Amino acid sequence: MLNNMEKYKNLIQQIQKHKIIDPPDNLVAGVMSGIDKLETGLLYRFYRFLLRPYQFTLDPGSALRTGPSIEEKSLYFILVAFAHLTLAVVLLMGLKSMETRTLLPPLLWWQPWVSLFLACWLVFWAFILKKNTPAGVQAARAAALFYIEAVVINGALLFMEFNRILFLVPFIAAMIGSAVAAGIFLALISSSDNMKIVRGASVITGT
Amino acid sequence: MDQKVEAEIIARILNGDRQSYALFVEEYKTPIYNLAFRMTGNAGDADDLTQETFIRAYQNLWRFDPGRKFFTWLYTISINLIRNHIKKVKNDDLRMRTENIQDNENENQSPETLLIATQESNKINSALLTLKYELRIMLIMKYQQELSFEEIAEITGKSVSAVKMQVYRGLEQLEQLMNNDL
Repeated sequence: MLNNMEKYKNLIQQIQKHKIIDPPDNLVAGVMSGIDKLETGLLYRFYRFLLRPYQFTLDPGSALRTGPSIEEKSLYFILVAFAHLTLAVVLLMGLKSMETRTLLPPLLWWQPWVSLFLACWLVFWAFILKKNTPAGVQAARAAALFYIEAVVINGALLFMEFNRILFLVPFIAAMIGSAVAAGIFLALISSSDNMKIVRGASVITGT
Repeated sequence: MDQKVEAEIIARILNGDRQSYALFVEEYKTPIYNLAFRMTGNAGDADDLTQETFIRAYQNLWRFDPGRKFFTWLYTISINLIRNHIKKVKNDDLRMRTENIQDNENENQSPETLLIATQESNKINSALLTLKYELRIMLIMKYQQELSFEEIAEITGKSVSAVKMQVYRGLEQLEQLMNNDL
């Protein structure tokens, strides 16, 4: 076929006989202002946050070793917040169905709201982290420590309230244990200040 | 631009350094603009399509596969936008735009030679704009943008042999059109 193309040599030369046209001078400025507009749009930022390809791993130790980027730290806060939000919703639904049947202690009624507060608290600090200021990162670490204290105190109060109901102990202990582990993890990743450069996507760990 | 340098710039942009994107725009604005201009025959449309191409690329930068060349990815976005734009514009409108594609390569020639050259240039541009989109883009990428068959295959997502076939068919049809006009 390439040999056959030889017969179109003149035609090819005619097509090739074109000078390169310079684009308008303001093209770069136009593109950059378009991007600025795009970046200020909440919808685009939300869409990018949701859909960008994060690579998850079940090895949080790896995240600690490689020093996550600020985006990743923020995402971890969001993930823990999401867990609390889910817990709050489940508790609210569960307690609503029990409302007419049992008289529960007020401390238990507060649990969904405590969980919801912690979710909001973590989301707030996730956004502060995203701004990537030294003060913001320091404050987020303090916020993670506060989170640990909050879950420990809340857990201790629950233990005091339910010490007679033995079947609840493993459940509460698991909840508190995982929350404390998550809090320590958040505090540790907030304190690592090395910024990892990622290629093509935000990568949660160095995998 | 070296692929490694490109990957570093992309990483910087994804980490929030949006100004680094201007490096890409500077580097690739001319081929993208020329592609759009040759395909549409209109400077205004070419300007809009070029800007749109770069903005779309920025918007989807996180989807970019670092194993690919950035410019072939950019071309893919560009040809898709051009295709959508052309669907909206009738072929007759495109033909009427031929006079906009004036090349100045014959500036130093006599008025007669210049007139003949301009007429020939208009004729081939007009014939090119009459070709089906798929064949036209192949000829423009191959002979005006001087891309290799492999690069065109990567941009269009076709096999190299399919690209060669389309280029050949494009030349065949273009010659027929040129002969019919005589």
